[in-house]
Amino acid sequence: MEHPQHELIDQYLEGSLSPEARAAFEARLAAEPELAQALRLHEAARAAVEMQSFLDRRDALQTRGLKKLRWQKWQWKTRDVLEQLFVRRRTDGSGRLRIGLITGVSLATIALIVLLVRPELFMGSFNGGTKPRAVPKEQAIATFNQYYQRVALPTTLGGAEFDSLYRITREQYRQVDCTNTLYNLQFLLADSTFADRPLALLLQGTCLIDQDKPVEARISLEQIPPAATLVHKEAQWYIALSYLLDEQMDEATARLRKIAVDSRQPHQAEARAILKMDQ
Amino acid sequence: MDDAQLTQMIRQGGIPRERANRRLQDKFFYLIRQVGVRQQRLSYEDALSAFSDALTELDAKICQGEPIEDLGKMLYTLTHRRGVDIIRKRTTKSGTDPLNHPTAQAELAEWFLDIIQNTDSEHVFSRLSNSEMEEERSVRHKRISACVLHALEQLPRKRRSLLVNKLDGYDYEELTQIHGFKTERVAHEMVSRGMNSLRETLKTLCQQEVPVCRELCAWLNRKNQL
Repeated sequence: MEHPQHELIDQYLEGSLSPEARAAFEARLAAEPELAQALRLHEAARAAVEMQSFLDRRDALQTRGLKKLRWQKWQWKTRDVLEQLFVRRRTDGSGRLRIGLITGVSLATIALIVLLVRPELFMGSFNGGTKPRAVPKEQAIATFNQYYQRVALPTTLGGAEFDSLYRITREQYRQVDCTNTLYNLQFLLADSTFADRPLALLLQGTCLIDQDKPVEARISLEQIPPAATLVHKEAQWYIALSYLLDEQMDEATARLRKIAVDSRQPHQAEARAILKMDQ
Repeated sequence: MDDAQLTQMIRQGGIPRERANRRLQDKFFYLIRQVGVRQQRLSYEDALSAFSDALTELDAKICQGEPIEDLGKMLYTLTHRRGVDIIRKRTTKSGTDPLNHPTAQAELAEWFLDIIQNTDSEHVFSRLSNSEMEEERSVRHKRISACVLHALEQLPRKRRSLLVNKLDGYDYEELTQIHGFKTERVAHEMVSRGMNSLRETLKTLCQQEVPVCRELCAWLNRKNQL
């Protein structure tokens, strides 16, 4: 139990005594030095607790502040850096936003993000403009019929020794007599000394396409060496068409894309038209 | 929550006072950057220190019944002042009092002593320093503070915390919950015992003639009345 005297002192210090009780207490203080001493001791003890209370409160706020500052500091530092970059400070302390720089950096950031997310949007322009589209399977035959034409043969070509047979074969080809053409080409291609082999293979390939034999046609056409540049490029076009005839759309599209980006290809325009690259 | 509500909560003491202080800290946390870091070129840690001092001072001023119209403005001013104190402390060398208590708490800031003098503890300070020079009075105040805090340090931590909570305005019901007493009566008894221990400790320090407690003991042992 608390000493009654201490309780009285507490009430006196807190100001909770009635005026009469307060007057009586003060009269006792004047008369009893021990009570006055006890009051002073009580005051000193209260001062100690009061001081500790302030120190504790201050420590609690400081500790909480340090935790909060740990994250807030980086946020503020980032803001400071951004302000240094994007705000032009005047001598009077006011600032003005560097709109141009902000716009530039924003656009560059957006472009970078788009480049990362959709790189094909940028790459398309390096491949000659519009993105090529695949040929729909249901349009394969119609497209083949629209673009397929036999080789337009010049009348003056032909080797000396095989002049008569080769001339006859070419004539047969011009007259769309593929059966006889293919028969004669067998003999010509079997002879290792035959000089116009690439063109003969091209004729064989196209005749086989005519006879609706795209697989065999490709075997002939693939034999044409790249050294025979013009004939080889023609062969590439017919190979692409043979795939269309076969309705092998992925392979056809891949071949047509190669032709479409080759500026020296005589059929570049047709390939681009098929792939709808100019629309 | 407006200024009037926050002021009322602080004056209410206990848990509402703690909440109000936290609210004030969150609301005006930007002053650390605005005043301490940008205006006074302090480090973030020093600026926080100035801000925490300012918050404590504001809390004390409110508790003392000082009328404050705008808490934000007052906190701004106080943070600025405490920042200046930190800068001064760095640039000037302070003389050491040979009688100072060796603990860090003896190094109490002037503003803190000013606050204490305006609280219920003013008797302890003011009656000891009627006709002294300002500087001498400050040294004496520091010694008295160091002495009473030294006395408080002698108590067990839990008891010390109980006394502090009681003075902060927690009622016995809250003290019972916080400190895990069985009944409010036990809490009341423990507070009384704590105060008794503190008084006894102060008496013992005076009997041992601890140098830092010289002024305080002289005042306590005076034969005349007040």
